[in-house]
Amino acid sequence: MLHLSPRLFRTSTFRLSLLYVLIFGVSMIAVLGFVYFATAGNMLRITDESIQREMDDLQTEYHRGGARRLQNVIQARLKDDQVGGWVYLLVDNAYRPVLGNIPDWPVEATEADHWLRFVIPRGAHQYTMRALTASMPNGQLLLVGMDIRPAEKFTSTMIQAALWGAAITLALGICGGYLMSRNMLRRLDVLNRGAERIMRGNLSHRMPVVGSGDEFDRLAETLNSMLQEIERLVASIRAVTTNLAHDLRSPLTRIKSRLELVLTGRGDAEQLRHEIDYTIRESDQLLATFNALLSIAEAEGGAARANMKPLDLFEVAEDVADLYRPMAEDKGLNLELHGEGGAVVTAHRQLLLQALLNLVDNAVKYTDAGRVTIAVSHDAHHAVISVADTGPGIAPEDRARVLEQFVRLDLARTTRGNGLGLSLVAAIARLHGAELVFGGENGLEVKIIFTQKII
Amino acid sequence: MPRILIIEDDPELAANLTAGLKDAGYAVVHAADGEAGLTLAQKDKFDAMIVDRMLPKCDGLSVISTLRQKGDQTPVLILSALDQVDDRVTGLRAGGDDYLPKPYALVELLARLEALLRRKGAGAAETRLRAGDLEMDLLTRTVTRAGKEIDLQPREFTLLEYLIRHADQVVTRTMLLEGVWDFHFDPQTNVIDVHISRLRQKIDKGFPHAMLQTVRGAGYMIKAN
Repeated sequence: MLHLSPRLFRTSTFRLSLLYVLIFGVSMIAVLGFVYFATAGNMLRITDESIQREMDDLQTEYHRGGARRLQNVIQARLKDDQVGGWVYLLVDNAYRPVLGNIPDWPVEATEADHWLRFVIPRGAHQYTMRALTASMPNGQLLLVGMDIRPAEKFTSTMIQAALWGAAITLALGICGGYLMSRNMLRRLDVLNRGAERIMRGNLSHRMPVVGSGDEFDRLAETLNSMLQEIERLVASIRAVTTNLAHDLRSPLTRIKSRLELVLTGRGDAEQLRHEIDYTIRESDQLLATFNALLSIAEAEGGAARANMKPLDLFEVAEDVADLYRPMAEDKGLNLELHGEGGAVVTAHRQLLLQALLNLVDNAVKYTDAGRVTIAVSHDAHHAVISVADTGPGIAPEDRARVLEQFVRLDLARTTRGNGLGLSLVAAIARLHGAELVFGGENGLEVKIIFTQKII
Repeated sequence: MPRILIIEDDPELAANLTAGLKDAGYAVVHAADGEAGLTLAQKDKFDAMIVDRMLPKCDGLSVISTLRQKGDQTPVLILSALDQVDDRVTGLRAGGDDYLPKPYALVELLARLEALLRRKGAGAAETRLRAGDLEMDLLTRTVTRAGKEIDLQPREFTLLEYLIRHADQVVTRTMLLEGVWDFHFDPQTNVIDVHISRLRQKIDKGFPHAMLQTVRGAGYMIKAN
């Protein structure tokens, strides 16, 4: 049995089916109305025309042969077996019957040349008559009529059929709408319940796919791939948060214990000064970590796109090479710059400088002997800026992992740095629609490949 | 005693800043929101202003642009928690003279403030710079110390020029990165130190008085005497 829930009637499906029922009902009434006027209405008109023609005939007879001839003609008509549903009545000026097949002049016929409708009992039945009256030149009155019961019966059948039709349409429409809404609601409920479970924290829940391939299945599939992406992002944020907490805990612990030591007041002024100096440097490191995170957020946010201008990659490379050359030389490394001007790309100068600086800084930091090479090259549709070194390099299986935030391949985390440098480079490359490629045979080569029309 | 107006809504930061500036020998007036700051700035004359970007009632950038429209040329140092390259650009465009992201080190702020105050007095384009017995000719791009010519690379020349223009002031590493290399972010490296020690080799080696000095925990300074 149908369980009538008020919720069902509020569904848009139900409202939509009601609207359809309404539209369908109105158009059905219009069709039936047309049929009625084309059939029943036409029948009555045809009846009236026949009566009028008969009356005209009889009047013509009168004009040809006077009252005598008219009476003879009527007499003949009455005798005729084919009188059928016809009625005739001729009365004198005092409404006394002269000739006819009905006994009395109907009370409804008050004046001559008048259409009327009256009922006469004949046997057990009642006959509905349609009639026309006319006055003859000699003062007599003539009535010619016809039984219109068949036409009336047809009309009432038509009306009844129309009403039944409308009622059935309405009932079927409401039932159909109800069933359809219930079906829709059931499938939507599954999706709603799924969404509620996910909101309560079960991110691994998925929307059921029935397998019918209909729009609900497609919706469920879209939602599922969205959930997949959300789950991945949440997991990566969770990993970043955990790493961040781990990375911040040790320096904060060190800062705290050092400050506690200072608070006890032991040691001479120079020693205390040294401790505080060290603490400040350590908090600077922490701030640097946050700054790096903010820079990554800035590059990933995309707002920096508004400040991109055409710039020559070689000039950017020159600036960074110039900044790092003394440092590399002090370490016994050759810092080489290859290429020439002309690789003009639309880019954010400061962010690009930062990306290149991070790469060169890494190269100088991790290379103990040999050289660091910055190279710029371009063709019509690509511009490449690359940093290669002769350091230890990165094993191919580790190359994807270095881009994750906080990953330092040195697991003991003994070298300086917050593990965000390459993540920032990757974010800046993404902002520019550029590709970041790791390679290198002896040592590491990192390429940033810009794909845009080179001016 | 130079008078400084601080417009900053964080009471603790404002108190620290006021104390730090007073210790450094400045007279300080503090306003806690944008409207009060604007009123004070228009009523009174200050040598420099330190303005936070995000303020109640009227934000820092509007305060600055209003003052600039009225022809007030008081040097302004903008403080901001919005540590992003493009925020810096909008800050300077609104009429700020320098921009320092929070959290900042007090030495950095003092160094920049002093640079702003000195710049105010700087006259027309000079062709010769001098600090003690160190002389720079900006036209022939030659440097001499006590008459002895010193050979510098182009970037070393620019670095020395920046230091001499800020002689007897503390110059921080970020100021050098901005002023000499046009890098507007903190690269978290000691790469500047190497440039300084090379420059020091060239200008101080063989002279009894070391002009290019390291200011512990802050930066560097050219000491004229």
